[in-house]
Amino acid sequence: MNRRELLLGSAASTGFAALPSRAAPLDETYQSFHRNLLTKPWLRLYEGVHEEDTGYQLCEVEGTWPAGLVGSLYRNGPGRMERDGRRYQHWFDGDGLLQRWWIDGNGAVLHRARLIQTTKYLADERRNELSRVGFGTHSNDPIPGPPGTEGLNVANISILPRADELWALWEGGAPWRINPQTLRTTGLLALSDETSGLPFSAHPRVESDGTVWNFGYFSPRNMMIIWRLRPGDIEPKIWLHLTEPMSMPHDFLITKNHLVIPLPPLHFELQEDMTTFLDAHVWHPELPVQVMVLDKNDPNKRFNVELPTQWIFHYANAWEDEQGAIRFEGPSFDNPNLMFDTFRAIMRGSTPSLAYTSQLTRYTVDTRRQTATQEAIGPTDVSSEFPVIDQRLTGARYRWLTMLSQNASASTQGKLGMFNGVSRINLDTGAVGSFQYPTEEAPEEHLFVPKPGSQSETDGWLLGTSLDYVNLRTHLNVFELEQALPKMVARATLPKLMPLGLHGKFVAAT
Amino acid sequence: MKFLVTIAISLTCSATLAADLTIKITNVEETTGTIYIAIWKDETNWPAGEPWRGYTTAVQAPETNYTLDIEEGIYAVSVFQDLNGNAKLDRNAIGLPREPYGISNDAPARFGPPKWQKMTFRVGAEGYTAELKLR
Repeated sequence: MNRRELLLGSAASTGFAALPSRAAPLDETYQSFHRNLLTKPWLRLYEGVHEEDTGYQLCEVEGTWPAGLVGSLYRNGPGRMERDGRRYQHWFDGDGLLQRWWIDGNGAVLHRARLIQTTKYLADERRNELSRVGFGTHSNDPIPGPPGTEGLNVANISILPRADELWALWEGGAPWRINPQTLRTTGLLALSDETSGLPFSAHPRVESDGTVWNFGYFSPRNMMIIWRLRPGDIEPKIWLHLTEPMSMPHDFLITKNHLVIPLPPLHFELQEDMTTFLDAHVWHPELPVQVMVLDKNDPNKRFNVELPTQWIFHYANAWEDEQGAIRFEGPSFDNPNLMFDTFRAIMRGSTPSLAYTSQLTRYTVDTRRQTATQEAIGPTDVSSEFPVIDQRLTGARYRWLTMLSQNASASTQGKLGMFNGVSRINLDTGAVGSFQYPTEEAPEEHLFVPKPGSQSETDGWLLGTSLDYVNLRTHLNVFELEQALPKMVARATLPKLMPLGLHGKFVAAT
Repeated sequence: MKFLVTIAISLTCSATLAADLTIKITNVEETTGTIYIAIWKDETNWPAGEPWRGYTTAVQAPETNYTLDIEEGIYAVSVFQDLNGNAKLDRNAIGLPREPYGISNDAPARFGPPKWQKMTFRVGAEGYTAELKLR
């Protein structure tokens, strides 16, 4: 098969791929991916889009859509993977693609997807060329991109809905502002002179009174930034903590009295020959996780506790009892190798050697004795990720956790960076209920959406997407909850395959 | 007499070693404020110490040029556009620039200040044009 046939084969698979327009050689990652795509249908999940804006498309609805479930599910994730014969080398480098599933309340579900027009994206667009540097993408012949963190910020991890706009979040940069109707990018967020350009990471926590807490970090200066945005405040309040060595924290927790930021021993150790931000990090299996615990009323006050060596991407939630014990849960990994291995291998089209193998774990921090412990909870033969809760309980006592799951017997999916089910676990009783997707469908993060007027964390729906990479369909699925067991009651289908994404938020219609 | 000899030597040297350094600042988006130019000659001073020479010039968009006589040698240049007239490069809470700035050779500053070796150039007898793109 010649190069053109190879490319046409790839383009035909999803209808998204574009042929390179120039005679310059295709890069190795691009060639390898498209060669493998011919024989590995699951790679379509990582092929990416080329279309800047799909416009709204009507989806086909099956089943009985719950009458009270009206609003928009916004999802973010790596969307554009390649440009003119060049391809990012790491999944996390894909330019952010924002998707809206709009449930209009009149029985229709519409979908729109639009690439987030960051400084980096626009610079690449002008040249029709990837800048070829990123979080985990390296080139010996880099094209200079925008300076500082904006040279890497692809705004591709998650979304924070605000009063009349969305913030598209990345880990190491400022949020990008998005119009929630048109999904048009309206600019880089600068809340004040002091905070202009400061990193605002991708998993802010919102208290019931609307106060937003977050952290950001800037590794070259070993600087941790704590953010607080209270409703009505004109400017955010920040606190700075020198944190050396800096880790790569992805998520954190709040309770009524504390902020908790676990720092796995993946240390930023800048070398002269550093190739990418990711590769400037060294995993130290001999060192513990340092957990920063900050006083929420005075975040200058801090102490550290230690947990055993492990890697954690996401936490479900934390709460604090009257004795000052903080409890939180999350899927624990032995190390961060997925990030160094799997998420690069899939960009080349290789079948990774590693599967997702996590263990749901409960952590307890005793704030009075300043100690920490952990214990495995939940099934030991199921790996999980993307833990979510009823967000109304952020920082408060909670009992139910929803997560994507994968049985050990289905570890093939795990190697491919996919899960095959969604599970609910009752943290008090240990009861687990799961819905298994067909093997050709890759589920994405599923959210708990409370029913209108409900007060209980069981009185709601699960709402989540799944990607049928064989029949080239994307589904929005709704589940009723009967105890732990999610029961699918309706789905809306978009007649094309979208790229596998990361996180989203549901905004109920008002 | 000794004084006059010293002046004579000095004039002779400057006459033989001086060259034009043209600083060409591009990507100037706003005709606002003042451009501050710092010439660096000693690596040990970069970036926290004092530059060897400092100049200011009016802003012309999209390109501002400034030429000076300078001895032949190795130099680096940094510039910034002071948009609000406070005579300093404004920075955010962790010290990252908030006003347009540029570095000779467009030296990368992705993980900290640009490396000295990446930003230096040689001014020879024929002079040199250093192009700095504002970021």
